[in-house]
Amino acid sequence: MAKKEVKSFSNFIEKILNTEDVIIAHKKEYRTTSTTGIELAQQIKKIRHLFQKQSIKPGHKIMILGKNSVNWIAVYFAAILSGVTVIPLDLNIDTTLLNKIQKQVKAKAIFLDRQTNTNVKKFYFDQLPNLPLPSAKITKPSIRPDQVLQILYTSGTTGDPKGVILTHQNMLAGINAAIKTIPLTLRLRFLHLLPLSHIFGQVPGLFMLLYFRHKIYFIDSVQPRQLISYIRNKRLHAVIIVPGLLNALKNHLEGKFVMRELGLQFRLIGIGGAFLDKSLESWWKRRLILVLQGYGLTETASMVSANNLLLGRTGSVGKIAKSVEIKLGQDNEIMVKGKNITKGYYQNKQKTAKSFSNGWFKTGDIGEIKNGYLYLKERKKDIIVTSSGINVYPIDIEQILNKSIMVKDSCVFQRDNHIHAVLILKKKHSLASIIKNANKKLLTHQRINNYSLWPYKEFPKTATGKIKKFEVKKHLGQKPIRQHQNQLYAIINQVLNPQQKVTSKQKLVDLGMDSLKRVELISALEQEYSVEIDETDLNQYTKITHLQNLLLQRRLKKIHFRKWPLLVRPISWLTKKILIFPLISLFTPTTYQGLENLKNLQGPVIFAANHQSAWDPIPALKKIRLPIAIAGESNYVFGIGTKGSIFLRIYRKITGFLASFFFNAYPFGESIGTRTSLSFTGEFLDRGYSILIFPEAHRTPDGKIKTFKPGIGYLALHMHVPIVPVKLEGLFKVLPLTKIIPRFGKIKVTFGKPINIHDISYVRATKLIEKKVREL
Amino acid sequence: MKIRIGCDIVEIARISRLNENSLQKIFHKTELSKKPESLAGILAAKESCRKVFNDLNWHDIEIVKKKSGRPTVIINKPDVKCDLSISHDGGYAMATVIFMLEGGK
Repeated sequence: MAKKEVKSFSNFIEKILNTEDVIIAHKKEYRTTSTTGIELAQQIKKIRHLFQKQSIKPGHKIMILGKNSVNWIAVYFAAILSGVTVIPLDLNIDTTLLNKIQKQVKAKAIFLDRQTNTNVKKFYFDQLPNLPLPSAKITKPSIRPDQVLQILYTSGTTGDPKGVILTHQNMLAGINAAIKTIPLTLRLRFLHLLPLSHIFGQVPGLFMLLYFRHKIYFIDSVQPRQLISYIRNKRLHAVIIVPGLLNALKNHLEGKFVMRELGLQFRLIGIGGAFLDKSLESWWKRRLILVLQGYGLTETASMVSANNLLLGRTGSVGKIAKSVEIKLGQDNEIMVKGKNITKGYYQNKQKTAKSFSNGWFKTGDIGEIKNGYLYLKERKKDIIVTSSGINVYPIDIEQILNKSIMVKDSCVFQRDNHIHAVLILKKKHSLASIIKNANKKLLTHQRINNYSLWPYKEFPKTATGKIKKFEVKKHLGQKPIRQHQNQLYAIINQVLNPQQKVTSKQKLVDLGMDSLKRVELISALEQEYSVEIDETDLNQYTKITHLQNLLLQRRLKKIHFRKWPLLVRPISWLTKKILIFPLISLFTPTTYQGLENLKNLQGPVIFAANHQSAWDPIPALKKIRLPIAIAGESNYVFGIGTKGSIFLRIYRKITGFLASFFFNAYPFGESIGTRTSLSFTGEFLDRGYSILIFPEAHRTPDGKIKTFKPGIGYLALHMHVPIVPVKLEGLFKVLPLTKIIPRFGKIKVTFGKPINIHDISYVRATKLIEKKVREL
Repeated sequence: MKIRIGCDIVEIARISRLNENSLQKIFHKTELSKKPESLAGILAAKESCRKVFNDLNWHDIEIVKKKSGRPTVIINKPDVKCDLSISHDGGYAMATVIFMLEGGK
């Protein structure tokens, strides 16, 4: 597609959605769902029909609040096409701010994915796909270019909310600028990690990517480990991200072989939304990964400048977009003019008047232009962007700090990706207690991580009385940051509350930790260290040292999702057909029942079978025509985490290799962790493989069916695929647990009807599946 | 046959102090929609079961109501019979559970 200018949204959206190709993939929990252009278009139609029925007309307003998802986009596009004004809300919005905004905009409805306390008429995302598909054609409203497309609220919780008005014309100009500045005509797979409620997540993140027909991937997680395995498993080429999260990724990858972790295909990072550290940029560039930094504000509909693919400069935010006029004003403040610039703030004429001078918009950022490249010196508005892409406004935190009677003045900014507060006190007082009190009043993402005392009577200030944060930061320089010496102790103390002195020899019970506190501790540790901890690993007699070791072990453990290359598959297939299947059939004349249940089976599904012998998969596999992977016990089959003699360990490694070579087996079980097991399963299912699993986990010692492990119930509920019960009989006589040499014996394999399980707990799901297998 | 008994008491206010992540670690989705005092009762019941079988995770136990309104335990163990009673008053919830184990293990 040539770089054609986008003239109107209705043509543009129609064009990009007119495709059978998958345009958006979204990973929730363990499964990734794909949406084609046509499917999205249908979804949009349904929502536009809903607007008509609810008499939401052009010029009316709706709010959207939710995680990035196909439904988010569908509502957004539907509103744009219907001429309805959108108010996208920040994910971490609290009820007070929401109601303040509602008071200003008087929205007709809110579309959301969570429970919120508000009087606005609510439509939940997960119910949207159930809407009826309208038969009649939906009328196209005529949309003027100066009609308001969205109002983006960028201000903090205190003070008046500040809504930036962006018209259709503004947005189109912003999109066109993006398309022209960064022509990425290769079709890539992009991981989209910015909130869609953010202008940077919309203009380059959504419209530009769709324009160039890139495939967009969402994921419901910001844990570096999950992001990395997502990039590797789905072979993603590029990511759109904020600096905070990029830094977290870097910290996670440091000291590792980046190309192995992320895959050779990963080559591009699109970044913006906050100040990018030059050293962070160089770190990625040294690993031959392109970093494209762009610069823009909500008020400028994103794109003011961006680096080009080939002509990027480290440290610069790139060349100015052609459609934007730029000049440096007083104090080198960047001022811009163009069709993309907002006409002002919603119901806030004072603020609007303040932000413009002679038709130029004052960005508030200090910059420098060298050879046509823009370099940012300091962002006046000093917004802190957390690693999950949420904006934190220092002014909100400062106002709370300044309310304390002990505090004379305060100054908050980002330092080493933490929220740092510097205080001047009226009298001598404990800093820690002031910070603790303030943190209680702040929202979770606003909490102060580090703090220090300012040694002078005043902060350095500008003529207008604003604190020169740049100088405060510089002064702090290399001084050590006051932080808990040991993060683990800090977390324990945070859970304990009131704080106690913690020593490494103490047991959890000594600290007064009961089972509930242990759950809190585990969930806090999991978030902080991005590990998973099985609850049974901890009990009241666990010592702190043991906990430390546990965390260390968990951090080291790392198993990648692996698949055999294409070349190997025919070899293993042939051996199976010629050698293994006939040989084993010799020993075991097999009768099959319920084969009709397999006939019209649409994959992927999960086969759940009882476990009688090591040969179990073979007779079952002979009749299954779907591509299949087998879940093998990670310890017994693959030797992961096996303790015991070296021979046993080697033996198990060999069985693991053979099982994965011939039967496409993968490790599943406690010794690699529940989450890893489940994510492997999800990955196989995503790739179209069905799964064969033995929910008893181990072979039966006496020929009877044992209790199923609850893992199968969890799979049934969270993988969103049907379960096919399979019963094996007779194999126990052929090759029981204790024997090595097989005997002759008739066997019987019965396939049950596929069952779909929803809306029950997995204890019950497990029981149900076990019952179905027993009944066959 | 062997009889085992477990009991537990929980302060109801603690439930509201737990964060989303912790709640999900303890309760099933099907349980989570209930009132705090019911949740505290369920929690007490689960903890009672865990006192009897120490290898159980929170999620291996589900507390449901029978048609008669009496609560009962669904648990992933073979050959057990059990009975459960839950109560709450004055900011606390408590539960007692009795298990009868076949085979006297």
